[in-house]
Amino acid sequence: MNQSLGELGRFAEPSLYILVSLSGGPKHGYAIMTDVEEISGSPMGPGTLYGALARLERRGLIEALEPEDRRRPYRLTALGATTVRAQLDSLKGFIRTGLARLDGKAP
Amino acid sequence: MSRLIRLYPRPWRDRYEEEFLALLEERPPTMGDLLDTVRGRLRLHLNPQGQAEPTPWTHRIPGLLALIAGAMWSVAFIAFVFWHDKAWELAGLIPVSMLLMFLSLPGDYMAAHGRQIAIALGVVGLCIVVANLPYSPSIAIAGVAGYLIALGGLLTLAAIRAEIGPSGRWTLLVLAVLLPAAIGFPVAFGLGNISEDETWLLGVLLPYGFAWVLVGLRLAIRGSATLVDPPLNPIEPEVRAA
Repeated sequence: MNQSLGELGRFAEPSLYILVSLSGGPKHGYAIMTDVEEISGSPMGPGTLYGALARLERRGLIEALEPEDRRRPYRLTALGATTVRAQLDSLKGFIRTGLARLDGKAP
Repeated sequence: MSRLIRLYPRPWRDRYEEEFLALLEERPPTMGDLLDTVRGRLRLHLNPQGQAEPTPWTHRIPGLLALIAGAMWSVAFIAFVFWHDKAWELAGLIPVSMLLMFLSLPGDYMAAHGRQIAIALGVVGLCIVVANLPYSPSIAIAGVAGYLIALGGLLTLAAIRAEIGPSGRWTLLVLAVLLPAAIGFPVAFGLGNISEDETWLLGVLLPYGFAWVLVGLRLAIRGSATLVDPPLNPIEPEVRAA
């Protein structure tokens, strides 16, 4: 079972980046921001980050851990892991089809 | 930057403010971060599913009362000036709007600020007495000053309740009470007699109604706990052992 990230509206893309970032292990806000910048090549603002984190947490895709000083790490839940895997699989099929068409190997 | 975070609803801030500020301390915020923070607030307003906890509707009652009070006050003075034939009937809106202003500061807040509210009520009562004394410029000026202190006090209490910061409260007080009074009342009392043309009332007292509408709007949007509901606690997600 997984959830559609499309329901997150404008936060769907940032949410996917965050889920991919947390796939590598628990991270707090700043670590997620820098990791996302590294993955996507473009920075994610703090308003977007916390908007997406709040939505993901509310949907049970991520969960907060005990705070470390003032920073609170987040980690992927089982539902979040299933969801991000389904999203990436979907993207993989999309990319494969697109590349095949460019190479003239698929209609 | 911390001022911008005050734009976010209280439940959200209770849950995320500390870590949000901690994040910003790890690197100097850029102009892009400022814009993104404002944009994040706007998105939260347009699509509130990301809020930690929706504000109970009962928490909006004080704001709605303040909003209605401001609207009634404004209508009363506009009507008083432009609809002379119904002036006295519509003047009845003024005490009703003042009652709503008091009621918008209910329960726990009344108890915490009881002394200030009692002083404000006392000043209003004194002004009613002064208004019925034979006219003299000194009594009139003292009455107006007392009345403005009471109005300013009430508005300030409402602004505190709406979590408007000190600079915002002063701005509100100056624009809605002190400046209109400083300009309007000397005009009205310029020749020692109150002018028969009552349009000066709009310049002096209308901004006060508008200020209550603004404070009421903010209070209604943000919500404010009353004795009816228990205080809103930050929602802590279930934290499981790592």
